[in-house]
Amino acid sequence: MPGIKEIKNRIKSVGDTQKITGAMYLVASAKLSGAKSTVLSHRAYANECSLILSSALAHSPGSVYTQDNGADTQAVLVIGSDRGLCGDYNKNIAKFASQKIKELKNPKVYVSGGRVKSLLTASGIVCEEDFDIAVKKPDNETACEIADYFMNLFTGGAVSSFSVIFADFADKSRLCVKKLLPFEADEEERESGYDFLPDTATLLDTLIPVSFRSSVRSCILSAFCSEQNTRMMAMKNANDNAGDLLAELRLEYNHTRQNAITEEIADVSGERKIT
Amino acid sequence: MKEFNFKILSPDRVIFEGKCTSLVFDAPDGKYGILADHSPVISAVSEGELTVTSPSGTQTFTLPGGILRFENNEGTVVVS
Repeated sequence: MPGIKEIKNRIKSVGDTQKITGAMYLVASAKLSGAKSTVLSHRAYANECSLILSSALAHSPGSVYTQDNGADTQAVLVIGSDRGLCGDYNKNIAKFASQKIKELKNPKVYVSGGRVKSLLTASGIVCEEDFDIAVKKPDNETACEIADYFMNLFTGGAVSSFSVIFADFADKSRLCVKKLLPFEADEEERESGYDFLPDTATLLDTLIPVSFRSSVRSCILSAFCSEQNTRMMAMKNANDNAGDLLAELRLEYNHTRQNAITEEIADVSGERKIT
Repeated sequence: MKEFNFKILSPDRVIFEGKCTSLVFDAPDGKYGILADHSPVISAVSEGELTVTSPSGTQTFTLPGGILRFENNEGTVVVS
């Protein structure tokens, strides 16, 4: 049985850990609420972009953006996290991504987040360039930078498709593969009676980068929200467990302390009887 | 004059949302104006000024370019 001093030390150490997990919970929840409001304000923009894009693509059959360009490699961006203490978030993404990547023909894997990268490398997947910036600074400039890089690969004929693997916050953080390139033309939209000014080809030149950047941004934001949500839950659980442990330790401390006092009283009164 | 709903969306926020009677913007082949009951249109918006006129006054926005969609008296510009 541990002595009073050991229990006291343990109480202090668990208390300190609880303070850290409590602070991390607050940080994650603040980041999540900030990211949630960005997601909401970006959603209207993203919806409008995809609506305009599907109408324009339906009226420009044979567009290079909707067809397979014949390249034999497929690009995949896996968005995870570069920090730990978020439960099984990175492990689950790495497991799901390695399954999906193995199904692809000649995949070129790009990773966002050091933790996921090390897990994927350990499972034998060769990763190309890092895009850690997506998880460190999930703003519009980052999304534009990443989107332009993959759009150049696609239009340059280096890759035939581009997909993103991430945890979709809008769908209860479920892991998913979202194919962003080539775009899929919606045949039903052909019935819409829009006039296109000046013409669909010129319009697509402006629209394609705008819409693609918006889709990439949606994925990055969604992954960021999922990460913060998972971290928040993990820290809340850790905080609750630390609370339970502290209650148990305090009880044990009081028992031990009381036993010591009782023993001492028994000793003193026993000695007195003898004398 | 008849009014219609109009909004300007940027990737991070709604720049303008409200009712207006007319709007004028720079399209690739010159200035383009829209009034209520305009036929459905999707147009490229060039870099330049977009003027929104409402009964309460006129507002001018300088845009880096974008796309406009107008249908059923609902107009939206997504800024690039």
